[in-house]
Amino acid sequence: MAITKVWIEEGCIVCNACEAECPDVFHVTEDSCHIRGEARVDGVENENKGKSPLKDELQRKLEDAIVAAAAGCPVSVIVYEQVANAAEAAPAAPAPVAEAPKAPEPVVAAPVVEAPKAEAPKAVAVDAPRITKVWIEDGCIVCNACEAECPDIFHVTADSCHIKADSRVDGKEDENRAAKALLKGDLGLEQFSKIVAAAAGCPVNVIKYDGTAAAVSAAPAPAAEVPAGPTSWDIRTAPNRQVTAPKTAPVPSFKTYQLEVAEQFKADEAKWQKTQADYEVAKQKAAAEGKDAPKPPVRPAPKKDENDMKTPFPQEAKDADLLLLAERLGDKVEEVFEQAGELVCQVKKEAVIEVLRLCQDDPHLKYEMLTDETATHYPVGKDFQFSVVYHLTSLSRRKRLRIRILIPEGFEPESACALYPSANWMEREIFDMLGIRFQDHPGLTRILCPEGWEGYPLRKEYPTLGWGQRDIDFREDRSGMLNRIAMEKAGNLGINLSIPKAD
Amino acid sequence: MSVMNQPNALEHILITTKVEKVVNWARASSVWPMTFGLACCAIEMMAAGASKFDFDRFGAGIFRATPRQSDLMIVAGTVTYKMAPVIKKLYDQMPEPKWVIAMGSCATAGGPFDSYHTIQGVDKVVPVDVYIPGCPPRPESLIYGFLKLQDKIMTSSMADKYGEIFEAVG
Repeated sequence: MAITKVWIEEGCIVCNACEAECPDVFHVTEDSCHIRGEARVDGVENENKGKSPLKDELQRKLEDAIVAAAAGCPVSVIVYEQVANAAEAAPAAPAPVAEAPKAPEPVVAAPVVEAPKAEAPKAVAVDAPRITKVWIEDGCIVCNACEAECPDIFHVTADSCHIKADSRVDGKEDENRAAKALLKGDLGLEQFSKIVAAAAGCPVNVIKYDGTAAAVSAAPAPAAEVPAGPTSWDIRTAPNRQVTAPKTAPVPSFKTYQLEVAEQFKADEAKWQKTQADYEVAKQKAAAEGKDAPKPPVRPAPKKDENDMKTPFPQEAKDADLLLLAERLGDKVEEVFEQAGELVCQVKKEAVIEVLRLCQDDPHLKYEMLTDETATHYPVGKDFQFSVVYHLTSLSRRKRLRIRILIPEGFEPESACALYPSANWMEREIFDMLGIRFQDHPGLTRILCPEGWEGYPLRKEYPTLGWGQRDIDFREDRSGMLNRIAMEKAGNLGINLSIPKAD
Repeated sequence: MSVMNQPNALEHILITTKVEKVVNWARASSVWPMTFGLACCAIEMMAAGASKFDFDRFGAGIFRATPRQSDLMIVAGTVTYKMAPVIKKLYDQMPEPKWVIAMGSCATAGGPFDSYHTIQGVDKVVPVDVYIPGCPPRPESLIYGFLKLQDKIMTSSMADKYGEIFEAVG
């Protein structure tokens, strides 16, 4: 077996497939594919329409590669003459695509035909991954994708995709679903990547194949690459759906702000000292070399923060109310400061009721109304996990005040319901959303979420999808929860809710 | 031949039709919706019922405040997990025949609330006949959806609806 001549017919689409397959023979130029001069007897590089023979030493060596290239040519313009023996010349195959897979048939097809199905892959075992059989499952949508990918194996008819007769040992053309006939010869080896690509590219995944262990294990890799793209259609894996825990606990505070400013000042000072030292060294070096002294450095003026109107910095407490609170409460006050004209008083978590009572009763304060009570989760706070904030309003004095406590996980602050009745529902909401329990609350139950809800949705680790968002279908009532609740409530009322059946 | 094409005296005073068609016509022409607004879509539903758009032109002007007098549940708004059992209960309390319109993107598919508290479409709770997209849909959309429902009622058949029961009974 050897290939004596190879040439290119009209119609090359310059796809480079043949050069990738067999670079020793084919050379793809800008307008057509050429047969390389060094592979030919006449030494000319062109399409070889004159059918100059291949060099003797290449005829046998490059046979497989040329056959593969001819089979892989999407427009079937690679034609070759093949002889069983190099000595005797035989006429060329007129239709190379149909003929090419047949070419190696006499060599290896025989043991495959003889061998029983189970042993077939082992009988012709090779290290390279090899597909032994291909079949089409039910559900082909006749999209032609597989035939475009691998025309030697697949043939798409009007109603389904078929495995071609001349690629099968039994010689029948159908889906090969029941028979699972073996592939002829080395087709499974040559067409391995194409079959895998066709199976991966099948939109309804009906192309199935079996082969050596290497083939089956190698298969999922290209299949997995296909759906990877810029768009993820699985909403649960979308990046904006992932729960990302914050790394800082940004509790606004005058003390921390002062610390930040001091650190910044220290860093600036150190940088300036270093710049000056560098300048001194450079000056001495220049003087030693007899050059002009370098320009002395200028300390940069502090940058004006464009943002300071949007996020005003905490400032020292000057308001009379805050000073009064600090004076009356002494060490129960952790911090007082003002920020953007808002008064903030952070107190010890055990003393919050005392502070609220003082704010309500003191004739100089008179904060009659609790406008809002809310909480925030800081999962990475050092000695606290939550802040609970009380927004007080004085209607008579037209002032607002914010009381804040920082509490660790599990701490139960005292309820403010006795002082401010409006705290009732707001504390229930805090419990519902963040899981903070309040001591002596008249009825601490969930207020927004349904009863029996798991978890606390406003905690930072609570997922927006998945755990939180249940996949429910009440018509089927898969979880049985609705039915259970309905039956429970009906049982309390003494009503039989079960629907009577016709039979 | 001409005599045969002429209506005879009986046909001048009689109309022949199917009972089913008459019943469907009666049902489609007098659908009583339930007062059931869950969110902002309800405002558009009220506008559709008010004088400018006048839902009453299609026989659906009487919004009943009880499910026991209603044929149609217009789910207008976001369906939360907490509201779902209530919707199911109200639907169960409505007498047959009954229809459901899912109005707006929240009721059809959860809308922007792709979150832990919102059911992604009321069709997970009750069977829906007509879906109306929009956020919120304008009253014209609601009226168009309602006309689609009327078409559905007119083409419906008792055999379709009760076929399973009849087959089961035998």
